[in-house]
Amino acid sequence: MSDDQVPTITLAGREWTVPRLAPRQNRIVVPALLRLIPRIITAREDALAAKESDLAYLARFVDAPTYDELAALVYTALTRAHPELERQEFDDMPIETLELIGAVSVVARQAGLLRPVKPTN
Amino acid sequence: MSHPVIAIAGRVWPMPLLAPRQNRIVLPGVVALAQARAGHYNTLCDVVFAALTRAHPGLDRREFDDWPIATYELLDALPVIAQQTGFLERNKNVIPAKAEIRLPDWDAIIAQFVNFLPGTTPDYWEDALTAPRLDAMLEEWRKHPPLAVLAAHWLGYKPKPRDAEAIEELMRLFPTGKIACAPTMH
Repeated sequence: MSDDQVPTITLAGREWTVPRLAPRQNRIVVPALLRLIPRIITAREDALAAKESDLAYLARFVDAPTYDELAALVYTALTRAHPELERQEFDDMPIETLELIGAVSVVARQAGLLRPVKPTN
Repeated sequence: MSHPVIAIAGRVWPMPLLAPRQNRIVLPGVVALAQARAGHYNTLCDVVFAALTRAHPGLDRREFDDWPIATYELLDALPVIAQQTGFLERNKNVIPAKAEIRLPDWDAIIAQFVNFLPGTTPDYWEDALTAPRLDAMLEEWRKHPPLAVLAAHWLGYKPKPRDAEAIEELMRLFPTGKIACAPTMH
């Protein structure tokens, strides 16, 4: 995959590349994803069923431990392309919670939890 | 001889039958993964890395940890690696639960090989003892026992209990630590 094909996530209004992750990141990212993804999916389904707003949807699953896990997961994924990024620096970035949640699907793909879709002829 | 292959970091790797040097890590890892619980990503990496070192002993774990390895590549590699241990049910992707498998005592097996096959060393068997070789040798010894075994049997030789075993037996006989005899009348 060339650099211009590397997917990006938006955090604090800035685009960040997320290359395919390595075990160094995945040993933190994969267990966190396996815990978070079912909760996100359930919360989203419940919110859709109840026709709730984004905030109500967030409130369904983002408690303090979940937020910390979400932040750790996204931070770790960022260190693949930006190993110099300090966690303290990340924690001071003006990151919207929706940006963090939006990053999850990209991180899951780059962790190799989802197989790439084969092109059909 | 062509070996099965696994794909890791987009590259194809041969996976020969594993030897004790790998199986010491791979077998317990595969059994742990069979009882899948969350948080086994590290075990998955340990198993796959150890298995890769069979054909590529110079691989560096720190390098491996920086390869772009998709999680599905690690999971896809697992049935092939489990089969190449030679100790799990072959031709099936089913890995038995821990209760159904007794992990081999590699040190004891290798000591037996070195004892009965003079001129070989533990280090040699650490890399040479695959499951088919072990099975073949045990079958050969069943049919034609080593001379030392026959001689021991003929002489009625029994190994002395280890010191620890003797102490345990004494403790069992005298749990209070006192040796008491009933008084006798003469």
